Amino acid sequence: MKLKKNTPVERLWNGIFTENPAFVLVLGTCPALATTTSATNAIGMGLSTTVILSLSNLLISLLRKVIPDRMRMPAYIVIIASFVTMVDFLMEGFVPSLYASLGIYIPLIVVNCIIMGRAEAYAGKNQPLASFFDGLGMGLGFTLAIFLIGSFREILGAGTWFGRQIMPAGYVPINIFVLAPGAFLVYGFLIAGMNKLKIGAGRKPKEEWDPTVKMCGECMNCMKMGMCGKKPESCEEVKKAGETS
Amino acid sequence: MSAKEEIKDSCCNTEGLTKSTGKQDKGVVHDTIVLTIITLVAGLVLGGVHHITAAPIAAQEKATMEAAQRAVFADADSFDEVPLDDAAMEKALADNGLTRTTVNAVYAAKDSSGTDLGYVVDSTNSEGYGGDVEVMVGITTGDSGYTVNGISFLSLSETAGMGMKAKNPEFMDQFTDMALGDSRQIAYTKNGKSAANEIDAISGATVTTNAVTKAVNGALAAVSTVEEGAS
Repeated sequence: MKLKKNTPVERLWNGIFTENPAFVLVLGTCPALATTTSATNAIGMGLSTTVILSLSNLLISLLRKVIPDRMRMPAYIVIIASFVTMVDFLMEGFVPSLYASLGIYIPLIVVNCIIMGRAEAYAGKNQPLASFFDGLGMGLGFTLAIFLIGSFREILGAGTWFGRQIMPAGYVPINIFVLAPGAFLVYGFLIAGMNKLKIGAGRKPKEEWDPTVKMCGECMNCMKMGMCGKKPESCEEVKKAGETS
Repeated sequence: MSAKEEIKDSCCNTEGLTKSTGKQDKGVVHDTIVLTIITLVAGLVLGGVHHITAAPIAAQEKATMEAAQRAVFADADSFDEVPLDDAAMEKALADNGLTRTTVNAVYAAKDSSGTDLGYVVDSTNSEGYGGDVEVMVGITTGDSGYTVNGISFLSLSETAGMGMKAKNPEFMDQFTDMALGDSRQIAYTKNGKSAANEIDAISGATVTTNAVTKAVNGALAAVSTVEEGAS
């Protein structure tokens, strides 16, 4: 599907499918494992993350010309943590019922790598509208991914879905799925399944390359190395290119 | 765009970060000042939001507390906080082997004519599987001994499907109108409860059961201490 790059729709599609943060970028693994003991918890965490992600991406993009390059990280952290704290206060004061169900997840969002990751990789270098939709897309992609993980864990590990019993009465819940080892298992199997179906991170790279050869060049520092379809250059090739140019 | 240029756009640049974002390096002093300004503004905005939400948050906490008190002592008309003797309280908790348990507040439950009916205690035990277990316990005191009216959870973050079963009626109902007779403490058992002060443990969640038991016992110990102090 060919969408014009950096438009709102393309950003949404990218965040939900092409570069899904949980299954393709493999970011935000900690909350993906810790808060997916049930489908409801997963959705709560996912939606809270989406709100913060969109807002922080927007603000960071608006300030991208002002924030000095060497102070990027501290500036981003201050902005992200401030947003999270504000949302925490506002929910506690004005929407108590929602706060009671989501309360513990809000502070956890500050340490979610996706937010820092997108601030650094996208919002710091792109237009505010595109950044907002990038945050929205990534957040929704994350929500979808952890909803999937949470559903599997809840159905297999507790026999319920959204708190309602759905497995037959005689089903003995396999408790390991609601504990940490089960989380890793579900996550791993889902990614393995996607690799088998050649979707997500399992998409075949456009050029094959020998990983045992020493690599140099501009791709070495890039997060997408091996995933964007370009073959990283070996040190020999970089040296040769440097000599001829 | 050719494939190579497209990738250069999305990948990183090894030439040096300042060059890749096209920003001039204005020096550490300038950058520090900008960061200080950002932090100052953030701090001020946070302070403002905190100020706006302080009153509603306090009102919500009060409402939750009152709802929890009423849930465990429906007959009472008013709840007056009782000042606690910290030293006596610590001794009582230690004497009963109630490690990592604290009594947050004790309220005397009174009926409309001001007569004492019993107490409502907010106690916490931090030995839960997922953190603190905070309960509100309603205790009716009388000549025939203590009766636990019921408990209500103010904080419970255990594992879904295991420790969180503590919120199921089958576990919580054990505490409804539990007459302790001569005992001043409850105990949990895995072999089927027999005594008046026993409860059945949650199968597969002994850690949670232990935490809840200790929190309730902390509440009972608090009431004993208050009554001893008063008499």
